[in-house]
Amino acid sequence: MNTRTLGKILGALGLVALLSAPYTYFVTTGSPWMAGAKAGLGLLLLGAYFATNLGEFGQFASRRSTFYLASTIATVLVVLAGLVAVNYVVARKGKSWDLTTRKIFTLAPQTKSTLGSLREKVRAYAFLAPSDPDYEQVDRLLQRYREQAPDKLEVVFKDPRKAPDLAQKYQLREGQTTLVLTRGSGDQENHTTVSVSGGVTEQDLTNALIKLSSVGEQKVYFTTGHGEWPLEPTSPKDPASLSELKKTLLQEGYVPGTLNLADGKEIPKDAALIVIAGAWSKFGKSEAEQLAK
Amino acid sequence: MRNALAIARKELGIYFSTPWAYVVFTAMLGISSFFFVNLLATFKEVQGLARVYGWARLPPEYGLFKNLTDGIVVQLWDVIGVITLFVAPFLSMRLFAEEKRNRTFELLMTAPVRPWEIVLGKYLGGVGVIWATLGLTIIFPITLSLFGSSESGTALEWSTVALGFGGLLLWGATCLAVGMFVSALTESQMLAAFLTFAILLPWMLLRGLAQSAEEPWRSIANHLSFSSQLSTLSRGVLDLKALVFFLSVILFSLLLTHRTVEAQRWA
Amino acid sequence: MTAMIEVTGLGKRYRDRVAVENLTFSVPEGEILGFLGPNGAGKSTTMKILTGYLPATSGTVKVAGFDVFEEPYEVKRRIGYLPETPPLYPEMTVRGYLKFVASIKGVRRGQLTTELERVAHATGVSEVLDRLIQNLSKGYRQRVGVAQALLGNPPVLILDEPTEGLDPSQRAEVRQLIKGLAGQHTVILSTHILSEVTMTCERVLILNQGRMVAFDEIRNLAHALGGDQTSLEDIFLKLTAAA
Repeated sequence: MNTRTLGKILGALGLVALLSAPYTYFVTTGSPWMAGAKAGLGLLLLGAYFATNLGEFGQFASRRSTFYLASTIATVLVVLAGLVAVNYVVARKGKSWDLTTRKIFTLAPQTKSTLGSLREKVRAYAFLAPSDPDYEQVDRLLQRYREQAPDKLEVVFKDPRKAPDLAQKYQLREGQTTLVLTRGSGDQENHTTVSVSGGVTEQDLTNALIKLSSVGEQKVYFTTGHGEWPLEPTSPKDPASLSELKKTLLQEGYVPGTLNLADGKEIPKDAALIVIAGAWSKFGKSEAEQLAK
Repeated sequence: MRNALAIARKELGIYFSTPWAYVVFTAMLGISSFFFVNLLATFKEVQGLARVYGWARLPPEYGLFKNLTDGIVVQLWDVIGVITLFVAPFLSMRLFAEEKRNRTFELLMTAPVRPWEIVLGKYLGGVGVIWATLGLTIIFPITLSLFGSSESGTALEWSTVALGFGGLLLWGATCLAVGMFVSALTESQMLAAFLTFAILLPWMLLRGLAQSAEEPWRSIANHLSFSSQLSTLSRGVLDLKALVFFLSVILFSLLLTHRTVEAQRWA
Repeated sequence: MTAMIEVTGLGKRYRDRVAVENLTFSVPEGEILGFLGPNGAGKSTTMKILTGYLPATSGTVKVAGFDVFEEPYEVKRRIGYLPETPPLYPEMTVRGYLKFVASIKGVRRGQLTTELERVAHATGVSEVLDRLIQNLSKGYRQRVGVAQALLGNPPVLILDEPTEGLDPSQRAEVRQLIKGLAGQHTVILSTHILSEVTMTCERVLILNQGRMVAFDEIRNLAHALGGDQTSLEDIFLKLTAAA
């Protein structure tokens, strides 16, 4: 066996090592060092191939073959870009036909209308480990929802063990498999949860969506002007405020606001609740009348 | 086109005059009947349990076995998809590698045949033989429909079964396109088979990688994974994106093969 | 007579080795040209370039006025080629093989059978038509290779050692066959059996280490190198030793 053949065999082994390195990381050991070492070994072996077989490449060094190589690379890249574009468009806007007799892969009309009436982008966090027995089922169901409304629904799978901060944010218990639907961001974020064990039904998921989209319509007003607790701290020296309550309300899907009835304003129609938090002075007559309504 | 057909006919003739095709047929039928019998046994067992305890009290994953289509055929198609992955490299390896070693490549390249006709002809011949291999497995659903029964009409949902089978044919054609490209790169058939396998297997398993990746990589890996795309079809959903994906891989492999064959004339 | 094959400044370089260097010659229509030279002189490489199988590093080749690189399809339609190893599929029968070659060479379906019979008869493979190629003797394989080149009756034939592996009587037959092609066909024939060239060709081209050392009628070469009685063998040895 000459060096060139040996180089070819090493190169083939290197290719295998390189291609399988991501699997070492994600599927088997999960150690980035092992995967990195494997990829490095693969590159080294491939390098051995190129070093021993360099002569074969020198053969292509005429002007005509350089042109051929360049035009081939260009053609291949253009075709590849075209195919990627087509795949991207079809993956986002593509159609699919459910050919099963009982239409088990078709969403119910109610789900479709719920998805159609979503006004804001909804993000679905699925807190499931890839090894979870329900992973497949949840993945498929969410995928069908997303295909129905690609612009309105974003699906994110999280391994709860790998994302403890998010799990804590949504108050998940250890080992709990949950689907969290959220909308809005920052302080304006609302969420609702669906428990996953033994899978999620379309009904559960759609109901959760309906619940999520109905929250946030309701407002809670805090009266001001009578020495009530402020919603936000007024000065750093005086931290006494209702900011914790405000946060909780937001998470529960209420929108807190302030209301000063002193200048004869009427109570807004969207007020679900009016809170008088520790007023020091009396309400004026008109104010009292307004509240009495 | 006439040349391409002549080459395809020649390929098929050679496949069927060597023992290779028959070895592959036997392997395919042997391994898939083993799984078929196993699935049948599980199906019977679960049905028996259901009769005693009722479906409601069985674990939810047993729900698959309520009917023959989901309980047996859909799962069998998945298994055959995996067998195809192992079988296809052995069918595709000789397409170009053997011509090169036999020096018959010289005949094809000096005959008045355009390179795309050679590529297309070889591809059609190869697809013919892999479809023949996969075609044998249609006997399993036929057996079921002859001897099986169901509470609602026919024993099998033929639309689901046929779509899954169509998906398998498409998958076979995809494996073969990739294998043909690898075969055009080398003179050694064993190396061609080995490399084809080394490319197809990780590609098929991409889904496992997708599950632990973050968005958007998760979606991309899922889209690129053969098994995700194939399982959509085998479950009875005719999804445009799966068709487009498989056809893209085939087209791209054919292009690469064409450029490799054409390179002979240039370098 | 117009030149059927025109080669100008042809060169072929492999990685570190020059196979053919600056080769210029032309073959008029209907002539049989002998290609001579020791092993590794570049005969086969030149033939592969003429048929469009290999690209030249430099220079041009024209067959019937078509450039082999620019219009390979037109050139390939006009050439019948027997490579140094006959390109045979061992799993096929002779008949199946010849039918396949005829169809990719553009022989019309209606004429396929008659064309096949003609070629099989001319090369003496009629009696083995239904046998598998892998079971044939070396002589028969070689003749099937020649038969394949003749299919479609191409105006140009490029034959790389067509009599290789044949016994003397078969050799004579093939020689006769090639001689009969003169006039209608332009033939380039390579061989290392010198007597063969004297019997079939008018002119010879002698290659040594990739270079052309002689290109003339055998008669003239003999005359130039020491009298009319000089055999081709002497000429060959003298020329290849000198280089």
